Amino acid sequence: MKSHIKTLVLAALGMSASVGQAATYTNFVRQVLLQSIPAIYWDVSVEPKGERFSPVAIDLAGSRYELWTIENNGSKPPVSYLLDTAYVSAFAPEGDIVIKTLDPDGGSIPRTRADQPFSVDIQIKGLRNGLLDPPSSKSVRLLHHTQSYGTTNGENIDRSKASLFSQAIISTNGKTTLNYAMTNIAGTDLTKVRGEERFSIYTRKDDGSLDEQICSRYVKVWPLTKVSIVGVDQDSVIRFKAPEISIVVEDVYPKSYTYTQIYQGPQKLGTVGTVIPSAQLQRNDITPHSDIWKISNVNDYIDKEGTWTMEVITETVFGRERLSYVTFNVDRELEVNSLLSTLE
Amino acid sequence: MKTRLPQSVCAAAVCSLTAITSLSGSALGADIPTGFIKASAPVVRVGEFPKINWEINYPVTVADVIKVPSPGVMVPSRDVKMDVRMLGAGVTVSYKDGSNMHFATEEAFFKIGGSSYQSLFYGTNDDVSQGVVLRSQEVSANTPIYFKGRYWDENTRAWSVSRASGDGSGNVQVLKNGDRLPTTYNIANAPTLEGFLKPYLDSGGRLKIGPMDMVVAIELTHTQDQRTELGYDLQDLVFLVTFKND
Repeated sequence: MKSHIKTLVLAALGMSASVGQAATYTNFVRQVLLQSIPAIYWDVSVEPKGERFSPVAIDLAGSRYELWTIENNGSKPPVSYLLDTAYVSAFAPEGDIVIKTLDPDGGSIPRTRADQPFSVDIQIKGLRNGLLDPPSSKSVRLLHHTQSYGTTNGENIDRSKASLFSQAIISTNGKTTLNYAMTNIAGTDLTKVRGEERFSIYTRKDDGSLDEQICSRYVKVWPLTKVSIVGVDQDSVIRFKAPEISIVVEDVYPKSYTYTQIYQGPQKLGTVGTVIPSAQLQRNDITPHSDIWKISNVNDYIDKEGTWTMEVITETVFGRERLSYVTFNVDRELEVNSLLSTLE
Repeated sequence: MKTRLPQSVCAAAVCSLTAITSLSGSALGADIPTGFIKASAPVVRVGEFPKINWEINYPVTVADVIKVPSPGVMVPSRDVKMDVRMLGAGVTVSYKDGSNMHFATEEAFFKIGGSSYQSLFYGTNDDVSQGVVLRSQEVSANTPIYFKGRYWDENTRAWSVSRASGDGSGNVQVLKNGDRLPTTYNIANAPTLEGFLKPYLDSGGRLKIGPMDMVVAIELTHTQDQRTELGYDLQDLVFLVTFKND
């Protein structure tokens, strides 16, 4: 990979900043002139939203425009974000990427769950096929990268370390849809992977210079929820006071309602039981959540002897799913075995 | 192949900062800034100045969007949608000797701006389902949102005094992620803590809710003068309100 040697020609003229809750942001647009070696770039301070003419005219190799914002959050070191890029030249094709998932609540970055399908629409315009057209105007390269977040939620990941999952050359204009039945992020337990999948369209230059990104979008992938019911074993017998039961919940989906219910009888999908208030959670977040819910008053819900089932269910945009269950027996009858005899 | 992987998070650049109190271009509940930049035409003649346009969305939490000018009153600074769910209704009644304790019947209302109060809930805690959206509502910028509640007093056979947002009683509070319930003791360790609230509290009694959530907590059985009593627990009616962009 070729590295850029950067030369700052025009310093930003009084950077512009905006505030979120606790952070302030400084924004600028950078125009990188690709014909010069080393590349020359111009920075222009900008508002969060706007439109303007390019600071410098386009040369033969074209320009890359980069949108940056720098977060300054009090005592923490500033963090800069390269939000997006656009490439303009005399021969550049156009590209657009739209990632579609079943979850409409991801906001500006789509999100899905590891086991759920998603699709990617790739739209290409402006490719040429004339005999005299330069080779770089006749095709683009599609790259698909995956990157695991490990055990984190993706804070401060280095996206240059993503793994190339696949690539393809596209030499015709039009729309292509890629369908995936589930995530492509690798992991020993595919139900627990978390990370992102990025799709990028790049130019294919024929002069030895660096390929330029035309468009790039990514989807966040979150793991399936895992639940353990701890404190009572399957088919165990409760004689007197029921033990304290813990519901160990790992990675409830960012938007979900997860609850524990109990009912008399053997386990049966679809049964409506009594929801245990201390073991439920309505979550409206941007990352998964893990917790332990303790139920110390199981006796309050057991009013008869016999077989009982406790189960944990989650409701998400993907449907209603039972995550775990345990069936146990309640037997509180005292059986006295005695030897009767008569003394005379 | 020579490509540059996108690096959305890079080493910091150092710039002088001038704060502008603008929230235009913000993403409710996002965790990092997002944005796009586009050129008016990706193909131009050499020597031309293409026009470029861009938009940045900053991460925003509910504190940036919802103001609380007086206790219990929420005022959005922009057009929003809100979903109202109920977490619980914690008023209990019993005989004088403490026996036959059970949840009381309660009633909750809400209103937007100068409209009349509309019914939101009627029943006992046993009728509450946290997964059900009681109300989805669009709210215009700068329009106040009010909640009100009361319970049926089986001893007097009459409705209790109603407590409402902004009524001066201080018995309706709105709280965001990380806030403590304004009790004089740590509610997380209190014997009066209702089960329905446990999953939403950490050990220090601070709320664990989403970045765009607010909890509306109403106290119906005690007054501000009784704040040091365990009964003043703000669990008599509890709602979870989730905001999103309109």
